[in-house]
Parts: sequence; C-alpha cells; structure tokens
Amino acid sequence: MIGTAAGAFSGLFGVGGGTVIVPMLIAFFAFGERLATGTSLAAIVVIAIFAAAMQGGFYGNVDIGTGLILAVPAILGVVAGTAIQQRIPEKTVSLVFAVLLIVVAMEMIFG
Amino acid sequence: MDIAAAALICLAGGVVAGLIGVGGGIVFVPAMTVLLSKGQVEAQATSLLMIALVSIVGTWRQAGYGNVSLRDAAWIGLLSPVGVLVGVLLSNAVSERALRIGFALLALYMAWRLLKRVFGPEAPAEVAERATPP
Repeated sequence: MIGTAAGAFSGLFGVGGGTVIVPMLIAFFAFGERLATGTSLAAIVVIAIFAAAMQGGFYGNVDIGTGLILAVPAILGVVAGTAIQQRIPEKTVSLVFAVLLIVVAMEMIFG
Repeated sequence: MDIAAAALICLAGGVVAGLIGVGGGIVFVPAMTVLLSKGQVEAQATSLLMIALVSIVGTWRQAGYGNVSLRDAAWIGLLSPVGVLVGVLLSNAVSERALRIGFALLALYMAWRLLKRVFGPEAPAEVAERATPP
C-alpha cells in the first residue's frame, strides 16, 4: 500500500514519495521518526531512479546538466541534515516538516 | 545569480531531506520553477534525478546511524513502480494548474497529520513503552 501510494505521488508531483512514506510508517507501522526517515530515504533510492528513468527515457523531460549542478549542494545538505537529525528531539522533526509543507502549499496555490 | 540562489535553496532542500526523510523534491521543484523559469513537468522530472542522488547519500549516512530497515525499504521501493507508472502518465496528461493544486492539497494533509502528532496525546505504544520498568 505504502509503495504504490508513494510511487503514484512521486510520478505526479516530482517528489520522492517521502511525504507519504514517513507519516505512514509512523502512523500505521509504529516506526520511530528516525527509523521512518532513514527507511524512507532507502525506499526513495529505488523509487526516484525508476521515476527519473521514466521521465528522462520516455518523455525527455530531465535537464541532466541543471540536475547535476543543483545536486552538489543538495548532497552536502543531506549529509548535514542527517547529522543534525541525530541531535534534536524526534518531534521537532515533525514540526519542521509540518511548517515546510504549509509554506510550500501556499506557494503552490498563490505563487 | 539565479542559479546561485537555486543552489542555495537546494542546499537547504538537502538539509530538509536529511532531517525529515524526504527526497527533497518538495523544495527542488519550486526552486527550479520560480528561479530558473522551468515548466512544472521539466522541474519535476529534473528533481527526480537530484532526489536519486540525494537519497543514495542520505541512506548511506542514516545506515551508519542505525536508522534504516533495508527489508521494509526494499518492499516499499519495489512495489512503488506500479504507482510511479500511473503518476508519470497522469503528469503528462493533466494541466499544470491541476498539478499545483494537487501538490498543495497533499502537502496540507501531511502537515495536519504531523501537527496532530506534535501537539496531540502520545501514541499508546509510546506510553506503554515508557511505563515498562527497566
């Protein structure tokens, strides 16, 4: 169920599906937040590679140059983010996530 | 200048990815549509490439901290291609406006779920765990 739902959202919205996987693992499978986020990232590896291959191979929509340039700071960020996560209370992670989601939703509707 | 600003936002997106276990597309996509004037579909497709790279490094780091269940991740990842196929076909068939509204609704629903966890009563499993004597 989580895999199919996450996959559909990934193809639809260009997100890796973590916005679906993390809350579902916590709410329905009693995962702690750190375990849920780590497991989500591992699942996203498979999901994103498949989806990127579909978009690039079938539709030619992937801008590889821009993607690689922007991936460099993003990778530096994920190394920092995982390190920070080990040092803060788990519920802080949920709060950060909730605020970010609301801001992005407003940008998408009114931006 | 715009690419530099987009790079900074993607750095922040990577931090968010590591903090909350998402690929970062929720940040990468707006960075490309707003600052680099990419269309929604191209930005989403390009973000998938970035997400793949970010999630590989993120998984490596989280595995080092003991926070990855590879078996569960494999199940979720391997069962997702059916959903990916449906999603990709839809993204090429419906309007950009509909995609933006759909993205916004998904984001708001997930925010509500998390706020309930932060401010609501503790889950029974957590309470039981803490009540168990050492």
